[in-house]
Amino acid sequence: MWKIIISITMFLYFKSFAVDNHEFQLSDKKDSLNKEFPYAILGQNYGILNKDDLLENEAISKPVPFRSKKSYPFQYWQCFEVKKTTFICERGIYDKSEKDFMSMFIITIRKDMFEQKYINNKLLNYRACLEFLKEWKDYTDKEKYVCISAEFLNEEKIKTNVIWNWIFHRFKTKKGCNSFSSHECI
Amino acid sequence: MTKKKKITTQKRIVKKVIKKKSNSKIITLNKLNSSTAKSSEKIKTPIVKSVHPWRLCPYGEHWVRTHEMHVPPSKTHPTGYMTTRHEHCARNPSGKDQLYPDEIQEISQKKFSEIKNKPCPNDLGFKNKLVDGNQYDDLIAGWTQYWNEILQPEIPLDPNVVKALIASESRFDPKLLANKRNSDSARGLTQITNETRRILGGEKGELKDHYITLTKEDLNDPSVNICAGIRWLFRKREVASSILKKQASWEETIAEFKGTRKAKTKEDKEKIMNIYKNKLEILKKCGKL
Repeated sequence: MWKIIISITMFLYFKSFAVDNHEFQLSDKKDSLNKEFPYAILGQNYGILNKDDLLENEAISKPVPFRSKKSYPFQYWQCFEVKKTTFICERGIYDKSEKDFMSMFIITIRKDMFEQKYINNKLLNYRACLEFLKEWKDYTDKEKYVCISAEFLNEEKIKTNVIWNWIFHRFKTKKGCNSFSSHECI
Repeated sequence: MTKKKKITTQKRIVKKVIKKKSNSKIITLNKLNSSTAKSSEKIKTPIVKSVHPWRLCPYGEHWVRTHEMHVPPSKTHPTGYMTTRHEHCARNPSGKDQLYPDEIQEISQKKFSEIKNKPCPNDLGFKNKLVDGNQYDDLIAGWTQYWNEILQPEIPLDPNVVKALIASESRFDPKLLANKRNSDSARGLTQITNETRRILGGEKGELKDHYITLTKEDLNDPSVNICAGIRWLFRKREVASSILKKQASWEETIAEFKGTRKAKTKEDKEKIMNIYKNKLEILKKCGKL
């Protein structure tokens, strides 16, 4: 009996991280952008995003409701407190043709046992990563929120931690939009 | 005729090149009757290389389309003048097989519409105003077939692998620049870097044959980029096989193409590969439940 109760409790606890009950669900329907683009923003946009930001994503791929079980090319926006984000350049192995170490940039936002990680779709040389890190810092300096547009990759569960992995495309603060690749910010 | 002239005549080798518009091949060399030649004067028969039937010129030459050209000033024309240079075959500086953008575009326009082994017609979710995931299926099919026939791998390259690669690298954006701050960074549908472009052109001595000569800007052309990307994929297969000390699978080749070997952690490698694998899985299921 106790085993059943504990199992149900654990199930409900971990289910609270699932998308259906997640705080990122669209609870604030009063925002006009949310009404016009019901799938595009997970959570609030804090006045940073505009219609063009959302139209740009729809121009690439058909919008669909977010599901953490499935990868899809439609980009979703999420906005976070800057102080809760970390941006690192993870340095790998040296590449002769690049004349530099190869690296990956990872933007992480963590809340309790739930983590979201935004990565580039390919490795870049370390110099380029550090340059982009500097741009991230410039855009987020003295800003309260930053919004990131990305495609969902997958969900990982490591012990009690849940990680959502995203393929990064661009970010935006009130200072403006920036990206690593071309053709991202309009 | 003196004895010396006789020997010279006997040593002369006649090479016939029969060129047909639809089917260019170099055929056999004929050597003169060497029964009277001494063993020390034996005529060496050069190895003749053939070209793919779609090519418009013999081995060692490339096709140039009709174009306008400026003739420099001369005594008869002090200001110079414009003339039309009609399509022709030009010699490759390397003497090897070399593709140039004119011929790449001509082949893809004339030969690819009827190819049967196409990738799955699934747009992978890229279907809207700016992008169509099925737009390059003919080019993918054509160049995959071309390079499979030239390089003859034991397991032919599947066009779905190429389509999944393009989706993961560029999201079907033919003009994508990986790092907008650096014009030498990876470019186009298959994301070819400037360094790779130079290797493909034979500049670095890494490739032994089947070069592709193009400029950075040529890489923005979808046909040129896919042709070059697949050629590079075959080179990466050689590299992966050498490292693994066995014939690399196409998945191992894609990992080498994406440079995942240089990632810090196994998790990072897996994430990069998962971007590609998710797409391939969808294409492999084509039409099936």
